[in-house]
Amino acid sequence: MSARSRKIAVTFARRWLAAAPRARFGFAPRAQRRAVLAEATRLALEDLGPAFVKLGQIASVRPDVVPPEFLFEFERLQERVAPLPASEIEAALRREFGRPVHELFADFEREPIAAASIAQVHRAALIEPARPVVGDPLPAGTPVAVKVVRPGAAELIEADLTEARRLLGRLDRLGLRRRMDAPALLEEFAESLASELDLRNEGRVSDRFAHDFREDPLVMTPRIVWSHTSRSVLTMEYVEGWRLTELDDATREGVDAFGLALHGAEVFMRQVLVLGRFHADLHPANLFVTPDSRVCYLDFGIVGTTDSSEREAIAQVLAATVYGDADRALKYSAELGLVVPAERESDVRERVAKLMSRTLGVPGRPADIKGFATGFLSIMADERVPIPAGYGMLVKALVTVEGVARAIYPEIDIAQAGKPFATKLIARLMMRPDRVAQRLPAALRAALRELSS
Amino acid sequence: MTYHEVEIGTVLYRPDLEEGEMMANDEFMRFLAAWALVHETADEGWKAAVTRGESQSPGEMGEGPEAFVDGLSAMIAEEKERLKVSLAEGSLEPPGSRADVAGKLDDLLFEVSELRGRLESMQSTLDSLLAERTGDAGGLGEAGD
Repeated sequence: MSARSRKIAVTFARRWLAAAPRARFGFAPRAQRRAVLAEATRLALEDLGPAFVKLGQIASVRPDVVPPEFLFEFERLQERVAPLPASEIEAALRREFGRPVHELFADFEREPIAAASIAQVHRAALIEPARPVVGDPLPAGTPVAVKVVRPGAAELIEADLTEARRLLGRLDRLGLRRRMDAPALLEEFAESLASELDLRNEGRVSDRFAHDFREDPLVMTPRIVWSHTSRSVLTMEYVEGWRLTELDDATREGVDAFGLALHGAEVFMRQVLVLGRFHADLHPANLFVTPDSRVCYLDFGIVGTTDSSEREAIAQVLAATVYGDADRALKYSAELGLVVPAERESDVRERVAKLMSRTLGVPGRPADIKGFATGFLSIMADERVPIPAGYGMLVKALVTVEGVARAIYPEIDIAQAGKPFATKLIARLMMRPDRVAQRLPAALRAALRELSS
Repeated sequence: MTYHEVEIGTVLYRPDLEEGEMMANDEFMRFLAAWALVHETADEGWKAAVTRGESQSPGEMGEGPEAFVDGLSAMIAEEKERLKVSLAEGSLEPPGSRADVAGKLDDLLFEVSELRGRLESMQSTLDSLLAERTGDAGGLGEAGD
């Protein structure tokens, strides 16, 4: 076993052992046990550095493979990294573009504005005008944010992934592997990580999002400067504003907080139900509110997609959920691959209906989407109903939208606010010409029978 | 098929009808009358639903199927008024119209711009590789001199 493999194994063992007393050595109630284990795992991932933090972050949007307690715990993963000296970043820029920094930018601030395990961000100014893919040209002198992949990060991550593969292989040989196919999952995560390391992907998705919402005055994304963008560098317009995590009451008073929160939820539904691609890694730190009351979307690392038949079923599930109709929600969930075995169906329906009334239908209290999602995923886990990857990602994204909307306007009831949008969607589905043609004769016959009786 | 089971789409004109078969025509008229009655009743029901929907307070729509239909009716009526205004202003254009073409042009423009962005990024990488190569060659040249 290599030194790194030993360190990985020891780190997990140490954190889990330290948590054992709080889980009463396995005798605590299941929810408490899981919560304690989730926290210990999150701390171990943080101890192990960038690759593991990133894997945890990717896992945090995948309820199909991670239990709900872990899902929300992994959202809190913090990267404890010191920023790299500016000289190393400047050297990386020179390697990428073959020119010194003073020839690339009019001004380059040596102090980073953000530092994470994979990349760090510096503020700079354009030395020459740039023509972005979407929006007006950027004149020389425009402030930009330059995101640079930390030199050596890709190699470090690859080395850690190799160790993780080796460890999983050992667990496999010892027969310790659980029902999920961990090596396949690791490969999937590794692929997702590789895609995140190529910053051009993020730039492309950002451009596509800007194009999709080009006519929406409340939505913006930073314009990308492609002449100063490569696999390891992403240069984009610098946006002034407040991260949602920094919004305080005074700031909320200066912007239309309720309108923005409501609009945020509609933007999400439009992405999922109309455009077929959605920002699957939304969290308050990835969103800015600008002084002119717009929401700026950043960091398009993880994107989900939906096809047209999925979109119809999702619309039905969402509408059934906001109207508290468990029967309909499960019926259309089956069309999305969430199939409850026939013999368990009535039990599951009853449990989901109870959960809906407990979390979404309490008079005088705003709907608790996160509570509903956690409960729903737990019911499915208890009933051993596998959750399709896309379905899980969507559930998680919906919870995040609620979190984001509440970060902007804490009192918002997202289910109530989403009703008009959901209603219009169902109406549009019901009024599709093929559906009307299919149902009209039966409806007419029924009406005549009613009148003649 | 008997005329008791008449459905939309049945051949309606029968020149070979005997007098005794005129009952069938009467029944057809009755069918149309029933159709008109359905329409009239539905229209009254619709107006009543819109009125009820308009007087709903926020959140009342979720209180059951009746409340849902009333609320939906009010929303459709609102949309209908907007449609009437658009039609009166002549701002609605059929598919293939100028607005439709403008949308397609917009999409095309985006794809071309996206390609330009990719090319710019590739050009930067290429410039960097060329600069590196020139630097290496320059070094060798100097050594050779």
